Amino acid sequence: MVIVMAGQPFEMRIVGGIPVVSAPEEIDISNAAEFRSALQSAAAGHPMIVADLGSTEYCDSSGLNVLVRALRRAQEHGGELRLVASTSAVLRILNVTGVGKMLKVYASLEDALADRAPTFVPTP
Amino acid sequence: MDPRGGFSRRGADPRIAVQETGGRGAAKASAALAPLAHMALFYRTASQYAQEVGRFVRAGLAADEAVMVAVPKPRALLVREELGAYASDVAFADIMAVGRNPGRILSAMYAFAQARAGQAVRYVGEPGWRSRTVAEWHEVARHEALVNVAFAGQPVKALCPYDAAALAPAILAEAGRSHPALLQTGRVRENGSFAGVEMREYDEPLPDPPADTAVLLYRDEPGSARNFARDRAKAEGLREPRITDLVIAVGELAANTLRHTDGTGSVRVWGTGTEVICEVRDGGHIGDVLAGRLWPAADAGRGHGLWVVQQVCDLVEMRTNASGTTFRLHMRLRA
Repeated sequence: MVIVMAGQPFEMRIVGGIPVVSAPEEIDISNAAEFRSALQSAAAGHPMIVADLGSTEYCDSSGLNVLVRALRRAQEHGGELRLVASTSAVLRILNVTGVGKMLKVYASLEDALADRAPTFVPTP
Repeated sequence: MDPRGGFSRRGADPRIAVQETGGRGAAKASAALAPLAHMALFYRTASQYAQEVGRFVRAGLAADEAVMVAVPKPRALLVREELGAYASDVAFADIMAVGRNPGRILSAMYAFAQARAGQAVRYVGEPGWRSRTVAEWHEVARHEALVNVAFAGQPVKALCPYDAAALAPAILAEAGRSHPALLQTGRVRENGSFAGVEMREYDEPLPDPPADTAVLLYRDEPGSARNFARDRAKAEGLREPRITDLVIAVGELAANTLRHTDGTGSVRVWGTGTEVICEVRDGGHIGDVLAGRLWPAADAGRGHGLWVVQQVCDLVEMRTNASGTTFRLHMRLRA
């Protein structure tokens, strides 16, 4: 495991060759730009990345927007973005907006890395 | 517009409202809205309802249109009985769930149409019922006026039944003003009471919140607004999962204050015994009458926040003008 950019609100680590961006407790307009930067950095040179929102208690539509743009970029390059989400507010907004159906969502980082038991798999 | 004549995703720009002077020119207004047909059905009996709605639905099915019926469950039963086997070709929705908050009815209609782009669309939407509150009816009236804006130029036929035997005259009169046409004994006729497409008096100020309601001012910290709303709502008896919904809604509105205005916003929360009401107010003016009403493309840069607010609250009251914008979010204490 390599720790990169420790101490930032969005920590990025490489786990088994896969970049994992860990989001803080809250994602909103005040840190959406950092979220975007972190996902962009993680994706550089890596076809698959994981956005770990397992500890995120709240994510608003600007955070979701960042996620969707990163997802689209990954798909355009034949890559993948997997999402870890388990708290009620994040699951609720993913559900209400339909973003939760656009990508693979997992209950834990371990599941995401192993591609095991996704909570949701997008329909083509 | 789609050359096959069906609903087009882009279509006419819904933000261009046809200017009309009130009262006169109903025929001219309808022509400007064509091929949209937006009709009110003032019914008095169950058999009249079944006959008129059944006939309307069957005509749509015969013309190979996509048909959606969003009405209260007892009415849906009447329609199902009338249609018999044809009921399985119709998409039914419980308007008391889908349209609990009138602010989300339009996005449900739009989503239905978008999913069937290329096909003409026919709706039956009964937007109100006897137990709707005055505050809800105000937003129903706004919604009805917005149907004329949102679907102008689209091959959409929308039939809106109103219970003329049970609803107050003022409600029926308002429905009369927002529908360019009426359906009566199977015939569509121009509605002389139609007041035109221009959005009217839906943004008069709300009455003040209760005296001594605690207020939080916020600017750069939407989190402070969210936390305040959470704590106050809990104190007024709101429980999960509705607390999460309220926090989500307040968060979106507070973010909009920061994003779209130069000033502060305020949050107040109070209870009425049956519901918790959260007011979020700022100095901005929402100029787009359809903001938050149509399902935004998932990667659109703006417009998600208000749509989310409409989805997670039981009633969203909105007043927006040059003096500022007030949202009152209602969350019922019991389902």
